[in-house]
Amino acid sequence: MRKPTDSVWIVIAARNEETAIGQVVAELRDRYEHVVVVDDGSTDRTNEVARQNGAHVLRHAINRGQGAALQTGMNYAVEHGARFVVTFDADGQHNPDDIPVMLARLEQGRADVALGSRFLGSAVGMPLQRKLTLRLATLFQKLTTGMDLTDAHNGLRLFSRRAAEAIRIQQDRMAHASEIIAQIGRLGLRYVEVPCTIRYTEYSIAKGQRLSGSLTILLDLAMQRVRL
Amino acid sequence: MIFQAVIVLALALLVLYAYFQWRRAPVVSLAVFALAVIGIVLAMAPDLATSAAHMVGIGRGADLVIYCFVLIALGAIFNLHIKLRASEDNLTRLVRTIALLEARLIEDGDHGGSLR
Repeated sequence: MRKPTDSVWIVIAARNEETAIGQVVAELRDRYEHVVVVDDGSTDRTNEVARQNGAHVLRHAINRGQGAALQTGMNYAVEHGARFVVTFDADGQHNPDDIPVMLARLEQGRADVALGSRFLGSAVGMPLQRKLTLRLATLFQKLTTGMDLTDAHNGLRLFSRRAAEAIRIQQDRMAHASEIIAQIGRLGLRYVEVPCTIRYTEYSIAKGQRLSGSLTILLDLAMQRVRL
Repeated sequence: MIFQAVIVLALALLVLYAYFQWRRAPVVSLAVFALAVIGIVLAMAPDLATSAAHMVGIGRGADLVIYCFVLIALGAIFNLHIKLRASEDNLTRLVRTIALLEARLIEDGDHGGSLR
């Protein structure tokens, strides 16, 4: 029997996440039929583990970065008739229970995109440095794109089909998070921020962005302007 | 005098390179040609470089040449950087196409014949 959740496709970009990806996929598969893992050039068993836990697995033969992997997964989901596309992190920091709340907001038809915000919700065990970096990022976001959000780099997002088709991630690496927000603004997509919970574990902190990563992101964003 | 000959010879090769690049990248070819010719002239008549240097407030002709070289080299690096990024974009598109194609092959029941 087709469940209403069959039209929801969860897209996860994963690189060398064999220890976390299995549980993440399994938890999502309990509720959702379609989980797409884009194995972004992993050298461990990420691909196999994701497959065993019931994900559709796509493989980037060469590592291209999280932004590139998410775009690949979104293309796949849209090709397969997704009505809603969710981006979700591979390291287990997101809570699958936040998805239905976001879905409800979109199904009311008042938004095209729902963005998870850890600052509206709760961030368990967030290191102070991470908090400051993210605050700076939201400020930067506001100054450069005029988008006034409480959280700038949250990997939990829900797109309507229309939004998923319209957004084109060209930032292959971490700058995609800013790029997505900028495109939402430029394309005039309606968005809502929805509280979400982030579980900071030793694993997710080690895997996450550092302050030095912000400089790379700024450079990537600047270079994109040069190119256009 | 010996080094003068080496520089002129190297720059002459560059002129030749510019000539063969003409069809592929006219702008680059023209720029390389112009710079090489200016270089040859300055190498043969170093006094010219010195008087040009004095005009812009630099003591020696050789210094002027080096400063210009640094600027040109930086420009070239920047140009390469942009090209490299464009090439990265192409690579991403290629990797994405293969990933989607491979998934389609597997879905079509062709389990043994994936691109792996």
